Amino acid sequence: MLKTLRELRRRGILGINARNARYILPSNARKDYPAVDDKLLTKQIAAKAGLAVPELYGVVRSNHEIKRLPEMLEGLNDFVIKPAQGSGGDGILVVASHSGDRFRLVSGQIMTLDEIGYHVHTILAGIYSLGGQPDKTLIEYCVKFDPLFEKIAFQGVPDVRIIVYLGVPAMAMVRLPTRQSGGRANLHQGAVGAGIDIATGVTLSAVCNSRIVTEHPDTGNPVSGLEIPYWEEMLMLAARSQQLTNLCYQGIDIVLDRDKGPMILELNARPGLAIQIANQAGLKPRYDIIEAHAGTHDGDAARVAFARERFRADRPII
Amino acid sequence: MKNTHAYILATVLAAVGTAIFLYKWAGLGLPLTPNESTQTWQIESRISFRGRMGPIKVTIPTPVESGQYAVIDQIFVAREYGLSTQLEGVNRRTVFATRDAHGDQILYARFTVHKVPRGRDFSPNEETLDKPESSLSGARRLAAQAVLDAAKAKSADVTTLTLAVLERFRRAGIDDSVDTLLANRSDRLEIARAAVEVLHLAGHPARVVSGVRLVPQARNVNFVHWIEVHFGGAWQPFSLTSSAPGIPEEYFPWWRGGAAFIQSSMPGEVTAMTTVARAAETAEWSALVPANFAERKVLDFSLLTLPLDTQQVYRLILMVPLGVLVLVLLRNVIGITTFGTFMPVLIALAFRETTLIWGIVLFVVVVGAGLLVRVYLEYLKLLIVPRLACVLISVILLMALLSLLTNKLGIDRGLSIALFPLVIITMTIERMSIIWDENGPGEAFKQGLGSLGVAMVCFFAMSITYMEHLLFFYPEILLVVLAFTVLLGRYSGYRLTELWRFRDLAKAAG
Repeated sequence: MLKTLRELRRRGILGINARNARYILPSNARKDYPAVDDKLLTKQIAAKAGLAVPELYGVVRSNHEIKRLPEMLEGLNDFVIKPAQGSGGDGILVVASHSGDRFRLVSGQIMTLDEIGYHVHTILAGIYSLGGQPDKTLIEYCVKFDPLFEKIAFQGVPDVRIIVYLGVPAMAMVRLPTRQSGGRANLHQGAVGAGIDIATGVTLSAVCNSRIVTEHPDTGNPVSGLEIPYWEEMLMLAARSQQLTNLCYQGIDIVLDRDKGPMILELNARPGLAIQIANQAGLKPRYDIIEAHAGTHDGDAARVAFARERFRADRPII
Repeated sequence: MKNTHAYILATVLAAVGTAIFLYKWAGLGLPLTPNESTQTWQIESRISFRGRMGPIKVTIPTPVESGQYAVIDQIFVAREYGLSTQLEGVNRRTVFATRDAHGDQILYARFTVHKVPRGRDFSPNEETLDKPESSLSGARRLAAQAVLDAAKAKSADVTTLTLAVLERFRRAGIDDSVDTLLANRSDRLEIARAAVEVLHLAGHPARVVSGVRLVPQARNVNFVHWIEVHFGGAWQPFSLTSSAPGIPEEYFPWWRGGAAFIQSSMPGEVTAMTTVARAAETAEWSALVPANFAERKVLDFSLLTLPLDTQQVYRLILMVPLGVLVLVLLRNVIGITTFGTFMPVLIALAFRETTLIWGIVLFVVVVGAGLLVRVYLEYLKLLIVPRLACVLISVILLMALLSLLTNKLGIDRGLSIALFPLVIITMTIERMSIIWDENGPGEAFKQGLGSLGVAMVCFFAMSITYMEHLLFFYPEILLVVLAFTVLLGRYSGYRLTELWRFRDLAKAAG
C-alpha cells in the first residue's frame, strides 16, 4: 500500500482532497457556481458569448406549466428532458421518437405523456438537484452524434470532457456511454472514458469502472487511435470557457453534432478525477506547469498553443 | 496562505484548550479518572406541573438516615414556594406550597446520599409495635387467608413465612387467590401492598418500602418497592424477587408505607422525574477549597453546577464532537461514502440507547421495510413532498408496530426503537431508493452498509466511558478536537480508497 502511495505521488495523481483544497476552493468563488450548476444559465451565458449550444426548446418552471407539455413537445420528434441543476447525469430522459402520447426513449423504453409529466414533476421538486432545491426542467435539442463514434458508443451521446485550469486546457477525454451506464456519459455510472492527447486530438487508452481498458466493453472495438474532429475548435471553446464563468478550475463538456459541429453541453465546477486513469497521467504536474506560466499568454489561441506544445502524450512530463 | 492561517488557528485553539486543561488538572489538582471507590450519590427529582390560578400544595417524601445510607445534604430549588416539613407516620415529607401558581412550574429536590460502613443498622422510629389489624374484608380477605394458609404450611418462622408469601405472589396469573388479592394489577407496588396485607392477617407488623436503586448513572428511574417485617426487635427487609431475606445493597429506602411519591392538591397532574448519579467525581470537585477568586470562578463555571438531568444530557452531547471527528476521518481520510453528512452520528447516538446489536437489527428492519413502502409509492406516482410524508408516516407506524411486537415477545430493547431519528431515517430511505433507481442496488447497498459501518465506528468512539468523564470535567478538550477538525479541513493527501481507485495508474508505470 505504501508502494502504491509513493507511486501515485511520484506521478502527480490528484486525489479528491487535494483537488478540493488546493484547486477548487481557492480558484472558484462560490458566487460563480450558479453559472455552471444551473444549465439554463450556462446556456444563456454561452449563447450570449456567441458559442454554440444545443437549442433550447422550452423550460418548465412550475407544476402548472406541466399542462403545457403537449403543446411544447408538439412537432418535436426527438429531444432531451433534463433538470437544470442536475448532477452526474441523473434525471435525464433522451426521447428518440414519439407519436401521439407515446414516447420512445433511446434505451427502447416506452413512456406515456403522463409518465413524462410525472418525471418533470420530480425534477421540479428538486429530487435530482444539488442540495435538493426546487429546480427547472429543460427541454432541448437531442444531439445527433457524429458517425465517427458509432462503433464505440452504446446508445446515448458521447461527449468530450476537457479540464481547464487558469484558462489552459489541461487534460481531455471522450466519454462513451455503455450498456451499464444506461446511455449516459458519466464515468461513475459505468461509461468508458478514453483519454485524448491534447497535442494531436487522438484518443489514447481508456478507463471503465476505474480500470484501464483498451476497447469498448459492449461493442468490443478498440477506443484508441481515433482522431477527434474539430479538435482545435474544441480546445478554443475550452480556453474561452473561463471568461464565461470566472471559474478558474472547471470541466467543459462538448458534444459533436453531425450537422452543427462542436457545441457546449455543460460546464462543471467539480470535474471528476478518473480522467487521470483514462490518460494514464497525473493532473498535478500539468497544473504546476500551468501555474508556473500563468499570465504569460496573450489570448485564448496562445493558451491553446501552449497546451498543445506542453501536454503531449508522446512526451510525458513524468 | 490559507494553510498558514488554518495552522495558526488550530495551534491557538489547541494551545488554549490544553492550557485550561493543564491549569485545572495540575494547577487545581482535579482528578483525571473517576474515583470508583467514592460511595456518594446524588438523587434529584424534577417535579413539574401546570399551575392554575390559586394556591397549590405539593409534597414529596424526604429520605432520612437509615440502614447503611446517610443523607448528607439536601437542596430544594423552588422559587416563590414556601418549604416546610410535615410528619406522616414514620415518614417526613417536604411540603412545597404557594399562594398563586400559574403557568409551567418546575421544582427541584436534590439529595446527596452517602454510604456508611456496614454495622450501623438503624431504622427510624423504633417503638414497640401493636399487633396489626388487617383492613381486608370479603373476598379479598378470604383470598389473603388462602395465601397465608398455603404459605404457613411451608414455613417454620416469620422469615420463612414471609419468603413463602412472597413466593406465592410470584405466581400471579396461575394462583387464583393471588389474582383475587391483586385484582389483576401486577405492578411491584401492588404486590408489596398485598403481601403486607397477608402478613398483617398473620399478625406480623409489616410495611411497604419504596426507594431507588443507586446505580452509577440513570435518568428517569423507576422506583423500586420491597417490604419490611418487624420481628426479633427490628425491621427486616425482604426483596420481592429474591428467595432469600434481605435486599440488594444498592436499594436506597426513601419512604415507607406504600403511599404515592407525590401528593398534591391537584392529584394526577403533577409528574416527577428522578435522576440518580454517582457523585464519584463531584465529591472531589466539591471538596476542593478555592484558594482565590480566579479558582473559585473556574469551579463555579463547571457543568457540575447544572441540574442533574441537564448534566446527564451534556454528558451525551459532549461526546458528539468525538463521533463527528471520527466521521470526518472516515469520510475524508479513509473515503467511505455515507447517506447524509451527519446521519451516521445521529444513528450512533440512537445506538447508545438501543445497544449496538439491537440498534443494527432495528435499523435494518425499519429501513428495509421503509424501502418496500417507498417502492410501492413509486408505483403510485405521488408528488414528492406527500410521498416523503407517506414514508415518514409509514416509518412511525412501523416503529410502533415493532415496539408492540417486541413488547409482546418480552424483549424490552425493542421499545428503545422510538429513539431513532425519524426524519433522518426517512431521508435515508429516500436517498437509498433514488440511488437504487439511478445506480443500481449494488451502489445503494454499498452506501447503506457504509453508513451503518460508519455509525458503528462512531458508536464505539462515543461509548468510551473514560472520554465521557474527561470531556464532562474538561470540556475545553473540545477546543483540541476543533483544532484537529480544522487541520483535517486542510488535509489534501489521498483518501485510502483512492489508493484502490487509482491502483491501475500505480501499476501501469511500474
